[in-house]
Amino acid sequence: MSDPFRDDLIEALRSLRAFARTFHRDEARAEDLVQETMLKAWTKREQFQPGSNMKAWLFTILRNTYLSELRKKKREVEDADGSLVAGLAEKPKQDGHMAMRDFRNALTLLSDDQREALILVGASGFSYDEAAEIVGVAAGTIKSRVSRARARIAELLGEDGNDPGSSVVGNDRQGTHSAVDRGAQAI
Amino acid sequence: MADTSGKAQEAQGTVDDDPIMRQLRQVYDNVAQEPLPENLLDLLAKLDEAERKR
Repeated sequence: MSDPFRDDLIEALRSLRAFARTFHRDEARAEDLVQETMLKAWTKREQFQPGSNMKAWLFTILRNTYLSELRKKKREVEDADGSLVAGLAEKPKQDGHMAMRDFRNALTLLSDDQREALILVGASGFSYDEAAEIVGVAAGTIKSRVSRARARIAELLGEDGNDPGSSVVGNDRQGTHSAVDRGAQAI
Repeated sequence: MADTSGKAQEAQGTVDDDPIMRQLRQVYDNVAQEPLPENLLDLLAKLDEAERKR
């Protein structure tokens, strides 16, 4: 009865959900993305090398799924300004904690590349090499994206990253560009 | 590109001391610690069942 593939999949799902939320501010759409990723993973299960990194494999599938949706959507819609991601930024309710909300806002001001690198390495627990493989760039590129992302957040929040009252609000959009969750933005 | 995974380890070792990285983790873990939603588990159960019938 035991199915190691399934067990590993379940194990990785929580983290996968958190990653999905960095692409879609709308929770339902983030969940859809996770489901689709799970379905794809299941149908490709023969391609998975037992013993290799299931989490990295799933993240790669999710990322590719998101990007192909995005390309499709870009062809359909061409307006709206973008705050990609910020599923994380849109949830002030439970912890209306000021510093935390500012932190989420700061995240949305990063470029997509930088935010992604920061999240993969700083939050999802991947090494530079693993993150590099997921994103399809060199490890050095990930490393410099992470450090630029970190520096930018420090700048937005104040020197040590602990200053809640700072410059994020009103500074909106400035650092955000490109690939965007346009559909979710319309809500 | 002189990066090594050794350096990655080093960077991750410092995560806890870094207020920015700590907050990042907190934001992320807020979601990652939620229980898996029912529909996801249902879907998984269905896939599992289908697999066994093959």
